[in-house]
Amino acid sequence: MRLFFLLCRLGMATVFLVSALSKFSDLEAFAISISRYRLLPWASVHPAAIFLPGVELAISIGFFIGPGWRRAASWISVFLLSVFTSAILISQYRGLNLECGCFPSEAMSSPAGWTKVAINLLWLGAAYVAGLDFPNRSANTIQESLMESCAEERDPL
Amino acid sequence: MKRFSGPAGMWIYYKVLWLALTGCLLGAFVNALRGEKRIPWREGEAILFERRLAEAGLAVIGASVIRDRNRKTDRLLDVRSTSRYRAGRIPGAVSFPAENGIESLLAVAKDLLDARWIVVYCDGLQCDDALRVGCLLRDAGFKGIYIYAGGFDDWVKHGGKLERGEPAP
Repeated sequence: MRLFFLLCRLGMATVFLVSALSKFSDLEAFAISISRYRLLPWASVHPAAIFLPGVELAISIGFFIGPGWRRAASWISVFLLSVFTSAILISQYRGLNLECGCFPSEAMSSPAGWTKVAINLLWLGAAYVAGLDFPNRSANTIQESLMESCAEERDPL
Repeated sequence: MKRFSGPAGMWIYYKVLWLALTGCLLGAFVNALRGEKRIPWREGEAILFERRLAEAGLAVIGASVIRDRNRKTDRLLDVRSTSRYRAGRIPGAVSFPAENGIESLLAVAKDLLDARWIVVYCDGLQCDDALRVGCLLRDAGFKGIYIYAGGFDDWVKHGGKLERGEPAP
């Protein structure tokens, strides 16, 4: 079980790292991909293309620098993946035949279709799990939690 | 998972905010470091072209969708000159020289009637021919028109296969 949690964390960090580097390598292609979804105002396409890979890079680092940051990275990644999946669903509804733009520099980007939605949902699950604490906590951690709650009871403020 | 209540629980929100802000700054920093390859904060040339396509009511299609297309129902029109078409084209593309305008349309109209999608391409983002032919087809009443905005240059850049010479009958 512990291995599963660790794999989710590693997997998400890797996915966001590869995605960020791929976007940084061709920011213009990424900007074009964003514009083709036709969801953002034209003026905000380039700022989004500049900020998003940075946020993805920060997420991938966040998964490894402590429990609080890991949880924050998990929250942001769940939010981003929900936005990406919704964008693909909207494009499907509108009948647009788009490329995903998830990894813009790959040799032949994959279409933004139902397969991509399914993959994103899997990632979404993994991103949520990656923010959780290990279920089989060590005796020390349990003891620390008990001491914490006792302290809270003694001094609720 | 811990409950996020009380002052200690607020830290998670600060961390989310910090991580997002750091990410934005990181993105701006990396873009600034890219020298000539950096993209402007305002709309660039490519985005302006996309905007023109959107305003013309034409949808855009990408290389992977063209690669996976159904050749029986989807038509691909190469609107570059005949000589450039013969020198190299996307496999299965039909020649539709934009310079011949309506003549080209008459030559291929019958073939386009039962098409599910009609994909039009020229050299790339620098050429307007695909946009013009797209508008011509739209005005002639055809449905399902897509523009491969990246065009032939994008296809070659992505390592797509090429077809040369006269088209197979």
